[in-house]
Amino acid sequence: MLSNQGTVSEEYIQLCFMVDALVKEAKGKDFVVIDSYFGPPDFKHKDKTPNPDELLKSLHTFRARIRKEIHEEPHRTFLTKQLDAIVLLVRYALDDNVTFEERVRTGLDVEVVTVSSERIEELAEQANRALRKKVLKGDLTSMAARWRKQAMTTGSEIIPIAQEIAMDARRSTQRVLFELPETESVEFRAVPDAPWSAYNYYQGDFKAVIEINTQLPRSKYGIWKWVTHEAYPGHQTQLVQRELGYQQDTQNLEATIALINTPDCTIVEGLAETGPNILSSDRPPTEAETITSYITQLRRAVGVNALVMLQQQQKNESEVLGYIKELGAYEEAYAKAQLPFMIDPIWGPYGFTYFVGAWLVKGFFKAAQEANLLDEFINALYYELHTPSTLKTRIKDLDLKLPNQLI
Amino acid sequence: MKVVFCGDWGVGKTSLVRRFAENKFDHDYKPSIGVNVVTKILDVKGRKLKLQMFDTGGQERFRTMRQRYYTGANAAVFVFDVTRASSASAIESRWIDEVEEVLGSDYERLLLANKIDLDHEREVSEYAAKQATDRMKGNYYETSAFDGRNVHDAFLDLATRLMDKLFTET
Repeated sequence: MLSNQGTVSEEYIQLCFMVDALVKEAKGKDFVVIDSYFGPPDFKHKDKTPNPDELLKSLHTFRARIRKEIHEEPHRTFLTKQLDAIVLLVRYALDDNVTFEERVRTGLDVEVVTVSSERIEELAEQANRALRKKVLKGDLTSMAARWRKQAMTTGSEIIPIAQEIAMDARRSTQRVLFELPETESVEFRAVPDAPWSAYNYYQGDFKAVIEINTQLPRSKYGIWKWVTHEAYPGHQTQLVQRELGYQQDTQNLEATIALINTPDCTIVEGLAETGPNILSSDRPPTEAETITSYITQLRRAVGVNALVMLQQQQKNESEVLGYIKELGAYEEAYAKAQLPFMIDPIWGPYGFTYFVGAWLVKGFFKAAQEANLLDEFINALYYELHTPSTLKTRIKDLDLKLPNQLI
Repeated sequence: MKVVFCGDWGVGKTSLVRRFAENKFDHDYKPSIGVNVVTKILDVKGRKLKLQMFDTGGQERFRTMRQRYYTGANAAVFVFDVTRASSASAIESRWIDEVEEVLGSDYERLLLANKIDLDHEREVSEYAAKQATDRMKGNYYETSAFDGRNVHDAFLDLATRLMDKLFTET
């Protein structure tokens, strides 16, 4: 099927493009498989949609090739786990009976987890106590609403604020981690509707466009968190390092492609979620950001349970909406705005990347910081390619421990 | 215990790690890109010692990347190819400096003369290599990743010295 397979890395890229073509053909052009690619254009698939059976056969043969030719870790496990997820994407596109559990376990290399109601109560109490000091009365939902409204930005007025905050985060990232290329930049753009909150479209040459969903009113107190997530030291910083590594030949070709719903995403989102923690020694969170983060934490925990209710337990949307509203202390409109992401066929399982990824990467960061091993954290997250499995192995080998509690 | 591997490209660093960790050898040479991390637990004097081995490419362009991985290492394994004299001289002229820029002088050193199965092509004598080892204050082994000769003994020796140091320090 492949005329010239080249190296393992080259074949991997070619197969990814074929899978992307097949999935788009089967599920529609909006079904994203390739999130970004900045490698040589020659490997892009240009032919007609591949034959599904032949493609599955090629993927099977490729697995044997990895086993035979790649012995180095974490490279070998990374490719194998990515391939498992890619095969699953093909099966999903072909309407093979793929369960939600498989999409999480094989697709993202994590387990389906939920948060106990006791822990959700603790998180609610944490947010409640913090808000009560600032907002005098009311239940958690009304206090959270007032807290957001007092610092709300709407529509495109968020763009200049985000740009300014991004410059601060960029400087802080350079002080804490490493220099970024002079030509590196991000451009923020407002979009009126999208299933996500913000999205980094990496363009290559160290440049990205970050789209912000302006349909969701936002609190200024939360901007630092999502700028660190999308840009510095999150997605933009990690992708820039991957591109630099590829240019300098210290990173394999597969670093140039980012695939949605693969184990790599769990690490990528986990690192992005760890952004404020990474910069906290240089730029500690403000009190307002800390309070906002308590609310976010609670909602993240409620969100993962809601996702399982919807996707695994087949609960109806109104029941889940009620759950989100009540336990996540959301107003009606806000609660409703959470659902499209959860029920979206692409993004539904993806919700686990933020949750389990954050537990893994934040846990690694904290443990590495305490053991004075931050260089090991930086090497693993910015200079290597990992899946949750390989990162857990590294953490264990460093004699570090992850927190027992997921959130 | 963190161990880093140093030496020119193609001297057999990755093959030595694979021989030691899995008792296997690859006939195809592929230059290392990125880092190869292998962990092995050894029994040393009745205790378990975990060796975490970081193997990176030997080309000059990987220098910055390599030095990131030297941080926090307890030992460095310097590898040269007995059939390539330049790779042996590079240990003292280049590799030790590169490691000590990061680690200072407080680390265990192991010098491995690899590819002794290619004896008929040998360019570096055992005598010269041992003299270099004395100057480095390390231990010396002649190894073959191809047939496995002395590989286990060399790493066991390193592990023993690391263990002794650990218990002397604590």
